[in-house]
Amino acid sequence: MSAIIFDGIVQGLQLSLLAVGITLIYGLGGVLNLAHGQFAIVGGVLASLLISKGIPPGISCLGGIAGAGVLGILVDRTLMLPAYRFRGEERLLLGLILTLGLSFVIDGYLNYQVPEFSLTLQLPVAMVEFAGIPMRTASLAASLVALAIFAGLFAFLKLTLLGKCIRSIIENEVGAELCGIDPSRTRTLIVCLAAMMAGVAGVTQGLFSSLGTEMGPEFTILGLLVAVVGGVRSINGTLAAGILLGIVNAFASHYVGAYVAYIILLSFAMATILVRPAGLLARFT
Amino acid sequence: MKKYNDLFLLGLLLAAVPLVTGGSPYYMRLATLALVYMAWTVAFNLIFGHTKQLFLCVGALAGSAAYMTVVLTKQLALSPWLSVPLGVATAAGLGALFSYVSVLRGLGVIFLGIVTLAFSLIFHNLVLGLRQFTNGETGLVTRGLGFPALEQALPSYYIFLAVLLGAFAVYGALMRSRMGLAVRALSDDELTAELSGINVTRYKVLAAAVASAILGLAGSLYAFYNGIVSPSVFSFVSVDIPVLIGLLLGGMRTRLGPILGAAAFAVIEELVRPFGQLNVLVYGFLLIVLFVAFREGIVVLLRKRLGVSLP
Amino acid sequence: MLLSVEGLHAGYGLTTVLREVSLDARAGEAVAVIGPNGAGKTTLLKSIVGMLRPSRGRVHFEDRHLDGLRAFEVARLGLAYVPAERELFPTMTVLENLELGAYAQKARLNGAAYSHLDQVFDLFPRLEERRSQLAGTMSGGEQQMLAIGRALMAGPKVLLLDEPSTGLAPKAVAELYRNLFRLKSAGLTIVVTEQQVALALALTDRAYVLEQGSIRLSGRSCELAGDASVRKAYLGVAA
Repeated sequence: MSAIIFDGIVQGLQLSLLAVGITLIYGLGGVLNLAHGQFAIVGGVLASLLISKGIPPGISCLGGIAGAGVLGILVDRTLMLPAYRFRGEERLLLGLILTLGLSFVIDGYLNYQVPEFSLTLQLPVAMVEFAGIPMRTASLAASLVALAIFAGLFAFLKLTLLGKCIRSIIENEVGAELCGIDPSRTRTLIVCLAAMMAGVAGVTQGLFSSLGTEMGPEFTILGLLVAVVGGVRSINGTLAAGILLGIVNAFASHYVGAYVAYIILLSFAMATILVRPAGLLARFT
Repeated sequence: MKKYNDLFLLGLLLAAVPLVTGGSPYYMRLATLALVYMAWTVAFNLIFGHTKQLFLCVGALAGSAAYMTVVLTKQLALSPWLSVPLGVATAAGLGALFSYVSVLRGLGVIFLGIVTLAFSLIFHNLVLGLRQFTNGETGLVTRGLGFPALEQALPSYYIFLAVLLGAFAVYGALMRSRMGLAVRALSDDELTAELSGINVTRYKVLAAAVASAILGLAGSLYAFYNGIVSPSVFSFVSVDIPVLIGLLLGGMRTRLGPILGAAAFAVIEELVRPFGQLNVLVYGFLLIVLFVAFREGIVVLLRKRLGVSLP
Repeated sequence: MLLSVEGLHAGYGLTTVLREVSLDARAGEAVAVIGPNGAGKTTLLKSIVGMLRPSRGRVHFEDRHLDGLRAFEVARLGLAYVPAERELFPTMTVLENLELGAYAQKARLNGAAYSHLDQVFDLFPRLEERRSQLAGTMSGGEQQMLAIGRALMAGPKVLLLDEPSTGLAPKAVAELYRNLFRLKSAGLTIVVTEQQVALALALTDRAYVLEQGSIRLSGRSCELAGDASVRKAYLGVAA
């Protein structure tokens, strides 16, 4: 029983990692990034490329993640410009379509160029014991990385001035501008960070099992679901939602078949959105 | 009868197409498919273009009707005259349900989009999971199920033409009625419309129900015509994307937009075929370029350039 | 002339709200813009601070044009705008809201800045009491204080307020205007729009009457307070 919950938390942390990027991009850019999963894949592909050139896996992964970040910056500064000219619902819709198109472009290109791509990473030790529970080292490593990133993110947002600026933009972009904060420069930084976090999720998928080019859409959808369930403007909510959905998924997969488990997960997410549209931890709607 | 002019002209024009294709089965199929997608796009225009309900489950709705129809016909040996309406009712019911719940809960555009996207996935997995009924990935053969007309090229074309013209007529009637006025007010400012006494809920749900019914009708008949119904026939990439691109290409909230747009997409699809795997990339590129440079669509462009008042 | 607006035309989409509006404010002056609902007072302020782009006319501040500047750039120059909606950060504390207000000054003076926090707390002791309270949980009057306090944290040269008395109980309005008077006495240039005309005219040196997008009258506040048409329309006094 506790093993299932543990498993759920491990999976959930990865989901949260993906989802928090979507939350941040939505909070700062007012755009729902439908190409987020592809950021993760690109990170993995770049890492794999570096590994094939003989660079040690650790550095390659960092390189892949950095590459995802660069992609994020490029996308924000070029593709998304037409969307940023508008506000509110228009921007949201335009952004949806643009990122959807981008996801197809990246998917189409990768499937064409590197269809056989698969990133699989091995750790020196396969199993390890943590709090009395035998775990795969991969799970432990991935979870620790995710937790470290979240801890860093929370500290950054709560304690630093830049972090507060980011929170202020998420909360009230008009108010932030009145305080002299330039939303678009801050936004590019956040898109870069979000893309890098997606890159981490992509690379750690290679740790768990393997990463393939076809996983992009699935990553995006899972990330979206978690972000929306958690409340698309709340980072705490996203973390909570990810872990919750991870646990639901772990239980569902344990007791029923793969298809039904996915349906349960999706239905649960749908129900949560309908019951609490503002998000899991929403206080001010 | 000026209002029925364009319906008449359209019908005439499209009825003449088989003369042009000269009996080539390939082009007949292409044309027939185009009709199906036109009907779907007209329906999507009603839901998304006019009432701003982002239903990212067009394929799933059409597919629900299709599978319901085929499974009922096969399992219960029902006549298509019964199973098709049942399928249509399924789609209409689902569409109305999504619309009603979203208005009730005050879901914004993205939330409805995500919820319907989730439904698309649920549908896909349901079909795969209930393989004792649906035969999973392989799908079900739909030949010889009691709808011989849809197994021949020419009659099929005219059946779907009737469906399209019917959908077009229904759309036109709705937009001319009180509902059309309400819907136009809705799309400008929903809150003001509501405060003016317009029953937002009723019109949104009605639009969703009617549109979903059209999706279901075309979907069910398509299942018979296609000879086989499988998850990939009604997937997001197979249906939702072409419909979305088609509507954007043609022009949202215009009468002819969905039809021109779907036709344009059919042409593009043919042009893109030699690219093989890269066609997805081209669609993505198209989406981006369209929405940046060409947002209003063909109809509006033609209106401006030719000074013609196109509906 | 610290701030001057010349021949401003502005509106939303195809609707023109402001026509040929000009006003100015000298350093240390308090200027009021009064007028009925829909006259364009908010549009005017938004056009000045860069939240709206005017179709014609210019805005000068100190010795430069504000044409085409974004709202955050205008804020960094030293014009602080307190909108009617206040636009606070509800899940952040009073202190955090104030800290963010100081960002504009940091950006202007490149980091090293004199913190106005003590002055703000001095002016609004209630804010100091509630420094760790979440902005969204405060009353209307307190939120208004916070909004003004946040604007003051930037050490602005001009403070623009849009109908600051809206939604406040009479006691809170009186306190608000007492505080604005203290700020004025300390030398801050203030531009305030109001429907609560009596208080606005009492606070300010000069005033403009904006009706249907144009300036109908302007002059010294005390004179306008005595003007028959103003008294009838805005002060509820029979002519």
